[in-house]
Amino acid sequence: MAAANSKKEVLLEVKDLVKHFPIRQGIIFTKQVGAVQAVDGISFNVHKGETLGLVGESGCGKTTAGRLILRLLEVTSGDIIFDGKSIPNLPKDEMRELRKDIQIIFQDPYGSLNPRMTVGDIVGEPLHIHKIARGKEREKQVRDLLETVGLTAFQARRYPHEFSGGQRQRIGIARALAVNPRLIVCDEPVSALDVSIQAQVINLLEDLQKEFGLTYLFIAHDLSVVKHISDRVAVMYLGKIVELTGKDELYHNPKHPYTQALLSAIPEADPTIKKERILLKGDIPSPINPPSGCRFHTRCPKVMDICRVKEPEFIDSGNEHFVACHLVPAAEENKEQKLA
Amino acid sequence: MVIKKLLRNPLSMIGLVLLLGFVLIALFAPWIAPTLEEHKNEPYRVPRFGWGSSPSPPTKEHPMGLTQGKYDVFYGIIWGTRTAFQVGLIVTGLSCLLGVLIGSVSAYIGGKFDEVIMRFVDVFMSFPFLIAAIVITAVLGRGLDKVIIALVLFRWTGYARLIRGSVLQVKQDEYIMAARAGGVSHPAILVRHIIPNTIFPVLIQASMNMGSIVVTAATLSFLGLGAPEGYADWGQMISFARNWVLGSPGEPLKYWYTVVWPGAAIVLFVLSWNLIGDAFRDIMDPRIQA
Repeated sequence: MAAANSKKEVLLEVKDLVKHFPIRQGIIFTKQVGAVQAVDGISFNVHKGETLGLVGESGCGKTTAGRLILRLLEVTSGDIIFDGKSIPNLPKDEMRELRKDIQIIFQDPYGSLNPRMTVGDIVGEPLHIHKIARGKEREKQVRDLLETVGLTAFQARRYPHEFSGGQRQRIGIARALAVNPRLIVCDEPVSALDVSIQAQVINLLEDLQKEFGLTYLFIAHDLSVVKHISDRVAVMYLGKIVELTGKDELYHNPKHPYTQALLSAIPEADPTIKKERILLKGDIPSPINPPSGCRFHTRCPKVMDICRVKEPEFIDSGNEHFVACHLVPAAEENKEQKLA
Repeated sequence: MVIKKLLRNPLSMIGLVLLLGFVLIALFAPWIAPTLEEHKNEPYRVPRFGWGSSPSPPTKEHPMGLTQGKYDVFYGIIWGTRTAFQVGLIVTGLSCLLGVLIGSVSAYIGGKFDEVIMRFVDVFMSFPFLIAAIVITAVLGRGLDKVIIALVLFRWTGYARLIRGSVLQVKQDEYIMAARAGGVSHPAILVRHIIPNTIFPVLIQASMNMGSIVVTAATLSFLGLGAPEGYADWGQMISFARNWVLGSPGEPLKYWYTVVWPGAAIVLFVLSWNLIGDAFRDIMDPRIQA
């Protein structure tokens, strides 16, 4: 993977990332009785300046993955390398320094802003913490930031509850931009907004990316939103990435049955287009006790015997189209590599 | 905004007016009930007028009468207001501070640490409060400062539990995560983000407790564990009335002034704080907030 992409600069590398949340029982002598396998060995790269979409159903671990990258949660195993530094192993003070480079935009525009702080304080806090600007200079930068995200400078004195959902999300974006980050993890930034507002916020994110040369990891459960903004898309199912490739390749030539089902569920604006919908049966299985073999085998319309037993490898099927499915053969070059 | 709402609510207005009255009495005590020349250095000592033990009814000079031991009731009530404020404010302030500090840190750190601290709190809470206070004052000796220590020791746990619950909830909020992503240190998150969002229930509880602490302090005084004899304190004024509540044969209300005045002072003081606490709760309740 790294060799194939050597021409593009890798900003973030995630290797075999695992996060299990232990389930404990007992009051005094607690013992671990199980674990929620939220993220179970995912690997991907994010290239400088691109937008990588990360999609999947609720509970598939995409938000956990985003929070692990910011070290808001500690990893169970695996590694996250940002610009040559291993985030899970970074000492505290270096981590604080690194927080300038990676920022996050949250899903809930209501929960992610402190209701008792003014917008100016919310946006200005990172400036103060990282000693970027203080006093008058800080106020000026806050005003500039608010204008950058399409708010007006005088709104700095207001409180979050005085704003609409879309405006609040802009405040969240301004806060993320304050420290001049290189990577922003967008954790479903538009899924809580009205559709009309979604487009505005997406366009704002795109404009900001051009203006500041940002890199996005864009987490969403909505394939049509991801299609608009992403360069490449990774599809997650139950803690694993099942398919990862360029946007056009994914949307026109999906290889994993799960991706095919997801794409068939996107509503078509033109009613004359007849499209075959693949209906997945059942619910997403519990991540406490995930299915054996391929995790998708319980719902897969093309399930084979091998799927129940053996976990498919995440391999390049050619053209940097990575798929984890027994149905999809590896690319010729890949096979040769393995033989050699 | 809070004050405006307080003024709009008639009940809280009554509470505020009562409280204001008590504050004025406390502030102007030296003018309302001037200290006798021979007691200049100990203004909290209630002057005695005569040597008999039985109370004497109100006169022009002693508008509320003299209670057992010929102590002046009026002087005791006026200067007792200061004592009530002292005990109430010091106990509430200290126990609030201690409770908020321990409760919020414990909840924020969480895990085993929180578990240990909360069991410690349980131990304190498992003692019947009044008995514990009696034991402490009995061990430390009689006196108002000892009463304050006893009250603080057994009051902070309530605040600690209260704020712990709120902190456990708030620390999961996304703005806390946003602050961490922004590099804000843990103490700063606690002070700048968590406490401002969790302190209100504690403040409401504190204003409610102001009244009940004064009642408890009075109870201890009544039991003879509080202020030394002759100290201006409402509880003690009531305790002086203990033998005279029933009046004399055929005249059940003969000594009414020994119990009514200090009783009224305590009731009104507690009432004013409770009304204000109630109003606070209504104002701070987010469901009522527009």
